[in-house]
Amino acid sequence: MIRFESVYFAYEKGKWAVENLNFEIKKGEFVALLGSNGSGKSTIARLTDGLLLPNKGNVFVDGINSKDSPDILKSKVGIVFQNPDDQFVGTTVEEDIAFGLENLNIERKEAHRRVYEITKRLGIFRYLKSSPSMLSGGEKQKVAIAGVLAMQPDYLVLDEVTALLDPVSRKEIFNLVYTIAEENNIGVLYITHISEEVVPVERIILISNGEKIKEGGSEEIFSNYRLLESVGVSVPAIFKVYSFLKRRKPDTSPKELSESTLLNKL
Amino acid sequence: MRAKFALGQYNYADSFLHRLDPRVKILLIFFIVILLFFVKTISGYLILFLFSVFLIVLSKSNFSSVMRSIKPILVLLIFTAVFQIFFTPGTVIFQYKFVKITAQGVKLAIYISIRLILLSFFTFILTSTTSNIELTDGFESIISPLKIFGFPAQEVSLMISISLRFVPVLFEEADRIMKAQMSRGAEFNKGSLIERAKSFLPLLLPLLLNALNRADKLATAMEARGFVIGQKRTKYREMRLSGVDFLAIFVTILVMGISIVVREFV
Ligand SMILES: Nc1ncnc2c1ncn2[C@@H]1O[C@H](COP(=O)(O)OP(=O)(O)O)[C@@H](O)[C@H]1O
Ligand SMILES: [Mg+2]
Repeated sequence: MIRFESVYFAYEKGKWAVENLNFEIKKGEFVALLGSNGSGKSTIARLTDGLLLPNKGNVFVDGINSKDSPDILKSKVGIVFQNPDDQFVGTTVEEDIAFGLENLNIERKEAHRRVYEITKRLGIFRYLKSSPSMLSGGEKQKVAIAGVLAMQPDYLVLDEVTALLDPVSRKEIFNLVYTIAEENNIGVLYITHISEEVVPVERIILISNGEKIKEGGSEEIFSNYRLLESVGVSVPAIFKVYSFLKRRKPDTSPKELSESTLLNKL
Repeated sequence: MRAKFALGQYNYADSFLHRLDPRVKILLIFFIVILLFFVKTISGYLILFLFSVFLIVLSKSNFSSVMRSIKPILVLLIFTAVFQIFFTPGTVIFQYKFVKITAQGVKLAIYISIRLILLSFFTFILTSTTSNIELTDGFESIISPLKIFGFPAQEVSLMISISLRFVPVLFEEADRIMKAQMSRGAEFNKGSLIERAKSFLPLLLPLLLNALNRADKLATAMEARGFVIGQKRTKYREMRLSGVDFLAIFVTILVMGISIVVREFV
């Protein structure tokens, strides 16, 4: 379990980037973190694996305090960032995915097996010998995700990994991460400023100015239009359709919050 | 875009040279480069030139990328050649007022040009067939005996590898910023040499800031993937000398020997 206990963090004195934050993510759970630009999302991501340490409060991963052993946290929590171009270390896709495995001192045979498996799973096997920078945006992000998944983390933090992608690749990456996390019982913190993306997520944490505003399912998060506007997050179009239907047919449940089912109902 | 700056660029192909042990390649190229300053005959240089062409063909590189790789040193080459022609004392073969050209000057200029061109050919052969990580691993392995004297072999080779990685990135950034500033009315190709140099100054600061920013992001991503400087890590790629390496060593030493003992053919 990842646990934030009254976490405060400031880059500059007197200006909290994260303020009194409390939340938990269990292993195997998929949680979304939603907030506008500058609301503190990346700061929270960095706090989860000890890249940043809280000024006040504590971050625990499976009971280990990030202040005690940030290095252990890095092997438990994998982070992928927004811009894949800033993350590539290797000249080829294969070298890049292997980088984290070398750091974990994974023995050579096992490392080759893992690189093979994860690239097959993500459909990027044919790019092993290519340059990561030559790939499309979605493929680049798959390479970055593969590099972290190969390390077999217990938790995965994805910091706006789809922000630079078109809606189709965005959906593809989201679904891929969702199923792989489910298959491998990985706890995920899916960070985004695009509310459309997180509609299917069961638990959404809404933040603004480094503070948690609300936590719950899409029904609870998206029904208060005024609140969303005040924190700079848009109401997902699909949710508007859903609310419209709900007013007509009160038996509509949040389970039906998907394009196909809503269309049927309409 | 990328192709414009071929200096130190890896060629994503699979060839005999790509498969050689990086340590063998680094050392052989290193000795050839030293040899370039000891060869005394044009026939010796001709042999080395033919050898380099043979290697380039073998490495599956196309000659246009070779030409691009020597472009950056062209200015240096012309400058030193002109300097030698006019300022070397000796038998005068041409005189106009106080401008004198000597036979020795011409000979020196030719030698220096040949050396520089061959130098860039051979470094091209190394960098186009050896990825950054192979270069780092190879270099680290070569200088690892120095570790017993406390020399930070891993850090130094990693630094070299990352600098290599950033060369094309910097050129790309420069190009991008230049285009952005040109679209805002800046002119880089008009006016006297001094005016032109001045117009490049506003480029420098954004370039530097960009480079620092990207380096910072890369460092964070490396740390997030478990990299700790100085810490022992396994090597994904096995470096082991095989038959082809010994063949390469044998052939190279043979060619080097011939280029030294060969008589001048004129
Ligand atoms: N390295 C830094 N130094 C100083 N302030 C920073 C730094 N990184 C982020 N901030 C500030 O912290 C706040 C939260 O930033 P961030 O966590 O990056 O937000 P988000 O990822 O949601 O866009 C912003 O006000 C931002 O300006
Ligand atoms: Mg961010």
